[in-house]
Amino acid sequence: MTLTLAQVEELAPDQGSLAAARALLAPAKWPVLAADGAGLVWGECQGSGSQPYRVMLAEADLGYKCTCPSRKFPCKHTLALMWMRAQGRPFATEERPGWVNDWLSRRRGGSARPKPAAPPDAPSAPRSIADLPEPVEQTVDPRLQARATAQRERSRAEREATILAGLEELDQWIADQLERGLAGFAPTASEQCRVIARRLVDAKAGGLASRLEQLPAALFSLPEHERTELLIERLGELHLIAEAYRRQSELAPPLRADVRLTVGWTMSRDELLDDPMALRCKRCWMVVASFSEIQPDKLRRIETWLTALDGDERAAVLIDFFPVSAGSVDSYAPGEAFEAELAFYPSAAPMRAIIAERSGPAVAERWPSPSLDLTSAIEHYESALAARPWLGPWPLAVRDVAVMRGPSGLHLTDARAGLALPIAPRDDQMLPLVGLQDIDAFGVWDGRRLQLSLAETSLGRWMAT
Amino acid sequence: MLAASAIESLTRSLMLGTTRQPLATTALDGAITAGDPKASLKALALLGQFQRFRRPVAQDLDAKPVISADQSRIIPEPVRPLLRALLTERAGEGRQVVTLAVADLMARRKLELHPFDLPLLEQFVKTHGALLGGSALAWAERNGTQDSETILSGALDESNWTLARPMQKAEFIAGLRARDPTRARQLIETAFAQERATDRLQLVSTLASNLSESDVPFLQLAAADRAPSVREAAEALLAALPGTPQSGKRLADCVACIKRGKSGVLRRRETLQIEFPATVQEESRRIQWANSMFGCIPLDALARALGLSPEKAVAAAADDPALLHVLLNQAARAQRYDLVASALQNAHELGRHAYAWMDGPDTRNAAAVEDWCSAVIHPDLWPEMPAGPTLYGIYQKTRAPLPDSVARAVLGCRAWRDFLNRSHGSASESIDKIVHTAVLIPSQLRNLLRRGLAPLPGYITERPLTVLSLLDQLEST
Repeated sequence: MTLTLAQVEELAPDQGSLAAARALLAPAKWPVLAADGAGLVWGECQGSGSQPYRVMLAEADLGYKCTCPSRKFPCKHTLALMWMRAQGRPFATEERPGWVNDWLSRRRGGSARPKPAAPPDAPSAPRSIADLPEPVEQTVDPRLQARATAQRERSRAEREATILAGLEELDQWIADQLERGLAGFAPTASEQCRVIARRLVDAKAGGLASRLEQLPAALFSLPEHERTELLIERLGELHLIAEAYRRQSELAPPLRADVRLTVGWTMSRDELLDDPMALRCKRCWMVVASFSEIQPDKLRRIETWLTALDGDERAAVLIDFFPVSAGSVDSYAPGEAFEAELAFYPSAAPMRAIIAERSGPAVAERWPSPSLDLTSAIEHYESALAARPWLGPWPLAVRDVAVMRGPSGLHLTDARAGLALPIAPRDDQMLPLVGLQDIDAFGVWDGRRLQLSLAETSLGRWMAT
Repeated sequence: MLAASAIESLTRSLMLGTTRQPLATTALDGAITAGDPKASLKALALLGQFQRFRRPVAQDLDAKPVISADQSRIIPEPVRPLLRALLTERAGEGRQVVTLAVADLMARRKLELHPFDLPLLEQFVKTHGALLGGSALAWAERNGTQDSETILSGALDESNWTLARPMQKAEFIAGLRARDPTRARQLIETAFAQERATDRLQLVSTLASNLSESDVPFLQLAAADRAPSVREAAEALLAALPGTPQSGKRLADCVACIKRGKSGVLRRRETLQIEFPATVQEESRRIQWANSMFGCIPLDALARALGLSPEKAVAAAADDPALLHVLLNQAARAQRYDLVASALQNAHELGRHAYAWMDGPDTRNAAAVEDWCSAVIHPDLWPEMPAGPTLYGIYQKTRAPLPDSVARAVLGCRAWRDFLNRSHGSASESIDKIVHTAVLIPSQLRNLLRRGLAPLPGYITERPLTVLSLLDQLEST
């Protein structure tokens, strides 16, 4: 089949993908571009990571694969390869390399990934190469560059000052609450938190604003007798973060980076991938939990928790955001396993990561038994909490535990140690676990409640739905 | 380390307000200097962090399992995904018959759901819990007020049956009644007074099986029960027993409303016809009235009272649909399926749809089910393949696939061949019909059914083939 530009337009998930693909048409971006003369085409495209992305295409049925971690199908690299092929650019005729043969041997026919369904209410937006703006020639003017750098520095300094002012306002607000007494906070919590959150957004401290926006819901999700403690912890934590930010020059680099991200500075994916100090781990990972929630800003936040199947039982969380209007999204399913290199955001207790490079799917018959019992796992949590005092949800992978019932609900227990972690209620799906002994379990602990998501038991695997 | 009193003091200050109750910063061991403008904030942060390091400890926890599954009977892992998929769908052609058939099959094979699937199959368990074993029953009743121990159905015996849940008790007694009618009645007699009305009714109803004169004394007591429903059920059973005052009176009333006549010119044959009260005129009401009036009378007793043999009584009722309904149901209860078969073959109109109006057989008696099907279901008389709901009615009466001979008759009849050959106007109706048919076909004939479906388009056969696959997997477990 001879590929045409019209087919490329048709396959593109959206106009943005076409634009991104066009930016990849420069020959310099493709150190390898080859074909076997029998309908298979492949290339290596240099991305922002150390390793180029490998892209392969079967022209007969337009099946394709790319090693980049993009969640769009086809990705910009695949579109660019198709585009160059449709344009008739020269491809070297070569023997198929091993990685292309591997892909071919695993193919089930058709595309490696199905095209995601269009959002139910949104008509399919037209994709057109002709509608793309003309690419602008990029020439480097040193004076303009210097001016831009200076401007960025001024903006950064202004933002720092704005944030510091916002932190003072936050401290004052908390102090006012303490003067009046926290006993009267709950009835007006929603309105109060909304107001101060808005002020923090204006002060460019969006991370702190989010924490305040979430506080009322977290408060009312607990029984009344626990709310006082939660309020003290959360408000205290806000002051801790503010104080740490003010003293960031005294902090070790990971904690300094952590507090800046917590307050609201962002680190782009490219910046993280380009950071030579960023922690990287290449492992076989298993998805052990997936949580989805819709935020007040109409973004769907998907948390995907991973544990490594080999090596050091490292855990990681991927956090993705999608517009609610996009409808259902292609997220990872619990139990799914894949090989990938993750890059962790800098932190005193690194946990949030992105996929730097994904090698391919893996098969995981059973989640390997964790090495830690509950006491050891809590000790690890406490170490992380000491390193990062505003620690958020933390993964606990534990062995030899049991689920028991108490007056206030279910608990994950290690009877020998006397520990009992309250489990976040989630209808009755965890009741069948009660009475089973020596369970291996995974859950996310927020200091008060455990979101239990996976258990390996004598009756097989249980997973939260 | 903060003392408990210090924590309490700090917390009280923060809750009441530092204006009203100043912070006792000395409790923080010098962590905060006096006069620090941010003393309250620091105290708040330190107290908060202190709380976060407190470990949650166990209090009043109970490890007693909610359910105790017999692991040897749990459905194997490979079957679970398909089972969950089919049983959790909210729509889908033939959904009702599929869930009932799966429940019946699990009961026959003594299979249990995997405990982890119970929360996902809540509605299925709620509807069919009695068929799914002790763990499903315990799950269905987990929020109930009964404090009884969970007893696996297989572990019930005469010493503990009264401790079981109501559905289990009825099942146990019904099973014992089939084997040892006297012993079953004795157990009922012992426990009767302590049971609730609904349970008493269920227990009385089990005596319909293997009813005999020895049951009369107990039934007469039950006929004086404080609950009207129990009294009614006992009276109906007494009326079915010859020699009781109830049966004598009922028989006399029945005979009184039958008009005898003669028909034919040359060969004057006896005819019987019911004379209905003036208030009962509509056809459907007539049949209902006749069933309630005659239903509990044995065929032999009625025929004798009329001075006829059962065969002649049935033949004489040929022109009265309502009376024929009643007599044929009486014949079926007496397991006189020969009479039923021959009468239906002579009455094509009634015979076509007899499965719809005939009372169902005792589903605990496989031989009775087989005889009923053979006598009542005549696919050769069907003008067209019955609709899904009608086929569901058949399944509800048999609660099992059809006997081999009847199932072959279904797959070989003209109505089925016509259905397969004609164009499929409404895909949904066609799928519904095929799913209902699939459930009625026994395992040894499923491949024959599959071959028959092969020429049909995939969107029609996908769902029925999935159902067949699940039934096959459950049968082979």
